[in-house]
Amino acid sequence: MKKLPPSKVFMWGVAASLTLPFMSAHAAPSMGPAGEAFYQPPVMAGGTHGDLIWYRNATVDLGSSAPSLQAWNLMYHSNDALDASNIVTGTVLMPSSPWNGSGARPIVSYAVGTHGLAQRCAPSRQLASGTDYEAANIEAALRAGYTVVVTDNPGYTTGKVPTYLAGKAQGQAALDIVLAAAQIPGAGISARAPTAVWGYSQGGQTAAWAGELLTSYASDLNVVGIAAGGTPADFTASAYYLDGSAGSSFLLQAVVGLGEQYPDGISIDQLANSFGKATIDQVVANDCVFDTLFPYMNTSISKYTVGNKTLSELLEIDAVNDTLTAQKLGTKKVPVPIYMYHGQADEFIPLKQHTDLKGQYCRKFSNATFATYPSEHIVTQFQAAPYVLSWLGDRFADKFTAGTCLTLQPKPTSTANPGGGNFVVSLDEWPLDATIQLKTLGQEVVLPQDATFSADTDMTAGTLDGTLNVPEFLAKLNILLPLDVKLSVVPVGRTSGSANLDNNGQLSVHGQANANVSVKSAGFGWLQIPFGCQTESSVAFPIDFEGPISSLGNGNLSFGGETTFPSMKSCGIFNGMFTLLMSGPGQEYSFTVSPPAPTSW
Amino acid sequence: MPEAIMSPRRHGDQPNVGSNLNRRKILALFVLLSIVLTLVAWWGTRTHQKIFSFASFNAEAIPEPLDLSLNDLKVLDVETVTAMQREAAQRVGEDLNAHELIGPITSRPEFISPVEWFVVKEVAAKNANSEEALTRLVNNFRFIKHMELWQAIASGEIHYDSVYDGQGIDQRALAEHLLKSLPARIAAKDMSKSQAQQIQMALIMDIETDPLKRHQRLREEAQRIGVQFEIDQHSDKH
Repeated sequence: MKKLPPSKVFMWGVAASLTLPFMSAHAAPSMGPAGEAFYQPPVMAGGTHGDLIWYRNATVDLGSSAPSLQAWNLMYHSNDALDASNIVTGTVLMPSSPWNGSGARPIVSYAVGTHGLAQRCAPSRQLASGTDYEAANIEAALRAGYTVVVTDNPGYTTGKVPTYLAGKAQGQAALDIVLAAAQIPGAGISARAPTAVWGYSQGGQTAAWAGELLTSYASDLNVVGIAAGGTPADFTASAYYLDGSAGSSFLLQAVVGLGEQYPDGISIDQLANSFGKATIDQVVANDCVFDTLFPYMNTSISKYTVGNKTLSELLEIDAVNDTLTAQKLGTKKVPVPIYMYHGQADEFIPLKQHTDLKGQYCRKFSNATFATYPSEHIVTQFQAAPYVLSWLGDRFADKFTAGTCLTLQPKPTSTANPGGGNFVVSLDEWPLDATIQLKTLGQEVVLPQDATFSADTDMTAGTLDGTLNVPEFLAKLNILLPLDVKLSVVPVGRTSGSANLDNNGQLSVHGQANANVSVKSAGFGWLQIPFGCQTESSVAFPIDFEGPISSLGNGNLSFGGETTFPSMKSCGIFNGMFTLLMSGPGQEYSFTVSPPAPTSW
Repeated sequence: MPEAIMSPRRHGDQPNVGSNLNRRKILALFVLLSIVLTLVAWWGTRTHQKIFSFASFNAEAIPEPLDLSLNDLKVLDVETVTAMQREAAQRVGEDLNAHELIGPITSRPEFISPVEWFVVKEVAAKNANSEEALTRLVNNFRFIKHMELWQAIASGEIHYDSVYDGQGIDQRALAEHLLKSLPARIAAKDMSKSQAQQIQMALIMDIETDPLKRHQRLREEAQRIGVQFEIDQHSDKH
């Protein structure tokens, strides 16, 4: 990236000092200004990492279902990956309801995943505007009663370019925000409260780094657990996985972020060709994560480099190789229990390098638990939340965990869709929780627990193609008296439609599932329903969903509404009666699909 | 079609015209009866759109219901139940000129079998307004049975195991009656407009053989249920 010449930096600093407030190194934290001025650091004599610079009351928008809470923005001192002092901002959120557990209210330092390099993508800004795609996980932690602190990560709001994926800097920022939050006057946050660092993807890297840094960097904190998911632990392996694949936009951003933190290691000016520089300018100036996902998908890094150097050729450059190697996790023991998790079908971050990290931690006698989730990267981020929070709850309650370093389970292997093609989120036999409310009978039919929905949602092509599987089941229907009526819901054809993910992380699914509903009875001797008694044509169940991408994983992917049951046919001498009881419009249905449960390894 | 089948059954509405009445009394009674019938006809047209408002008469109920208890039903054999169903089915085509029932319905209509009547009452009783629910269910049930009867006749599937024998039923009159009944079924939310339109198309295909008249009728009937009928010019050629 272009750097300002020293003379201009000096002039800017002089100009800024004339307009910005001055704070001494150890001045008491003060209320910061409103608006964007909050993000302009005051002129300071210095500071120690974890020092609160200033704060202000904040309004955050986590959605209509969010619990009542208090929030603050804060600016604090931290250190970057090269141990130079830096300034970072963030957000503190605390439930309004009192903490009912024992001891001080626990703190979760929530480390966000990739948000995009533009300044507008900073978590504090997106939490304020209600566009943060991780709001569901943050809300879940608040519902558990915890104080949640969310660092913006270095380079957001106070710098020109985020130092994206500079793991050490991110880990330090995630720890320092806890110290800083404890200095907000009147907030009642204790730096000695039981604390956990939780993150996924970029946030998983942050959390794992925080874990490795605990002893050397944050021994004052009472960290009791680390939860790190989808973690790029081996940056080189992750880079090869991303290059030219569904997640290639993350590699492009990583090069920019690391180039910002390590200008001597990755010199963008020297390595990027004109197309690369123009692309980087665009990404840095404007793009958040979902803006970049599709436009830069399946693109080789060589397209952006001088002489179209490939990733392998770039890694032959010692400075580049050293920079990537410096991000490698697993060199230190994590001194507190760590919950590691990964989607088995993760198409962005390779599973193997994360299972390898578990091995490294276990060899260092870390207390590591590894969970494998069945789906892909984004789904896993949100599916895992309740499991993570349950695990963290046990750590806050000081419960023992043995971890899973000693396991007889086979090592999980990747089931990811092949890279280089469309971005397809596969729903592989996801449990279907479905009910149909029969209007005339006034009775609810609950589909069997082993009903499933399988689909490929091709976000690139914008298509949905799937199948329902509903085993035959017994439903007790009050017709003459409570009868065990055997119903079948037999899918007809495929469930097809559209599936799209917009630049704000909003998922849109529209399609239709069709099924014949048939009735069989085992009641009175004369009330035997002939074989083949069913709706004379298939029932159409519209599959329409609009909501945040987190719904894919957190069980909120629901389709519901009213449909019309056609007349019945082949129901023998009671055909008309079954048509009367079961047919017509206004039949309410509710389908919810959620990923299968994770497994431990 | 025999008049006995075409006319709705009205028990107890025949005056006892004894032979000892003189002509003047007969004339006066005739005039009075005409006035009453006119008022009834006027009331019927006035309430046509309010099919679920309640009045105090029950034009088509059977005064001597065969109401069975659950215990009675349990001991029935297949032959008896089948005979009951066939008997009810025989009555389905008898009331093609009848309007929607406006309730309250206090006894079993003949076109509903004792078993079905037990079920329908049980289902209606679960509703907050069980009288209104029963009226809606009975009206819908009659439509469903009319539809089944028409389908059986139109498809020629009147065979040994059908409860309908189709004897003496004017298929065209039945189809016209079904067409007339559709708006009420939509209003009662017993069927969707798209379902109704599908039925219209099947019925009109049966009624009208001339393509132009058929299209005209399709448009008219579609308008009656508040939908547009678009003629597919391409498929029209075939």
